[in-house]
Amino acid sequence: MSGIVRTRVGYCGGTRENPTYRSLGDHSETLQMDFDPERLSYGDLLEAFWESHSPEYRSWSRQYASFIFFHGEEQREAALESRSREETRLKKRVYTEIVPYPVFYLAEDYHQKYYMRHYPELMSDFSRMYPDTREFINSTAAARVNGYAAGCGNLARLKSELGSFGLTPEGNKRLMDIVMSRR
Amino acid sequence: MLFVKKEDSAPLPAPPLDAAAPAKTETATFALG
Repeated sequence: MSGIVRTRVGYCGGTRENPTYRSLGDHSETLQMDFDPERLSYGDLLEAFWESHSPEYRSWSRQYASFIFFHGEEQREAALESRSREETRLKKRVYTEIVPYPVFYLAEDYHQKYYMRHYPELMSDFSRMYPDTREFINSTAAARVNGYAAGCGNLARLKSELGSFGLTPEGNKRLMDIVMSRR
Repeated sequence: MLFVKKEDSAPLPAPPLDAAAPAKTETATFALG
């Protein structure tokens, strides 16, 4: 989605300090993003949230539970209203919990930009742009390339922004091939 | 550690998109089940 500036995955909502994937405790796998409020609203993100999973099914584990962790009163109200709308639309109970944002623990490096990691050419380019993994995780370009690698977007859109990703000609070709191969 | 081919390890400049990132952002946090 245009307007998303940074993405990261991690663990949130539980009580265990410094969880890891192998020792998650009572945390849930969580996606956190920074977005540009001039280009994207929290409501837009909530719509994408509901479209991205099936909240009418109760999770069998805390690891895969559905949560909205709200940052402030405005987000809380928007989240409650949107859940109500989703229940009306589905005509079913929605099991998503809406709770105050507590603390977010960043997941291990190998979980970040997960889909891009399937493509060594793309990872090689980003490692040359960002030898520091934290900078790589915070890269808008990396978030967008990861989105294309995950199957989002289309060829026309990719062509319109490919030059802004900073990839080598080989990286550009690889990303174009990835998107064209699924047409 | 990211994947790096030994022969292609010369630094590359940061992507133009990252240089244009807005200074002011808001944060959203979701668990998608």
